[in-house]
Amino acid sequence: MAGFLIERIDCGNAQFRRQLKKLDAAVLAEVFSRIALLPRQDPMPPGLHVHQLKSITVRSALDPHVQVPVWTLHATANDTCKASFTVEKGVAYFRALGTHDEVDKNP
Amino acid sequence: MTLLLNLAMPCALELQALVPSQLAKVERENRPVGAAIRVLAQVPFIGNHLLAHYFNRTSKRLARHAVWFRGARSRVTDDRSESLIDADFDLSELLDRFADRLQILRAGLLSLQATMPHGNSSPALDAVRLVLRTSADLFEEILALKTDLLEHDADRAPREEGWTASTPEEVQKLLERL
Repeated sequence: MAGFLIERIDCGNAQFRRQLKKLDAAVLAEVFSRIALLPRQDPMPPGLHVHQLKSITVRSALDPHVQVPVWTLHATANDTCKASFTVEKGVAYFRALGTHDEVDKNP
Repeated sequence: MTLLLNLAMPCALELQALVPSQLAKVERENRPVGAAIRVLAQVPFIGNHLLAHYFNRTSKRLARHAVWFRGARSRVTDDRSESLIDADFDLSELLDRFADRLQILRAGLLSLQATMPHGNSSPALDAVRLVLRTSADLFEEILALKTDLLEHDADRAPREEGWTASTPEEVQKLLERL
């Protein structure tokens, strides 16, 4: 993700904060230690696995009438938890937190 | 199968009512599969075709349920109301717990598959592979529904100013404020 600079993070989304509050203290601290790596990093730390979701757009945090791309990062080092966010005017607006499980369809 | 066709009903009410009952139905229907796996793992040659028939029926059921959850996802992504569907994350947690149990079922199937003779294709082995594929499809639809619910509600959640940070120290202060 070269050339992609985030100046600030924003946790103003009430649902995102409610999800954070449900986490165990240790997991919560880990999530914050990882999202603290976002601002002013170019390129992004590869361990965060920041990438854009190709198939969906979501409401802009700045203008709810506008749809914008959504990004995700791995919020824990063991990759079980992903956080989604939009990037608008240099700010990462966090939106949702979810588990990240995958299965092998043809084991 | 309960269909999600009542477009007049608010999406939140409909999903809060139907998703738990659909998950319970999937669980009820597939509870014998776990027992069957345990028994058949002990006597793997007891009727290859019977075993294949049983798992093929299971696959068809799981595929139908995956279609149901795909429909539920469309209901979420097409919803135009401004209400949150899963404000307290009850549905999300239910879906998570169900996905965990589906993983346990899959682990049993993988163990069974490991005990079956490989090499020449057998109807039973093919059927177990098919159940593994259809259960993976269902697993993905369940987690995708959860993601759709979270993103739906994130779109509509109230926002509060002042929760920003640009340095590790400021991020630490956000954590302390939570």
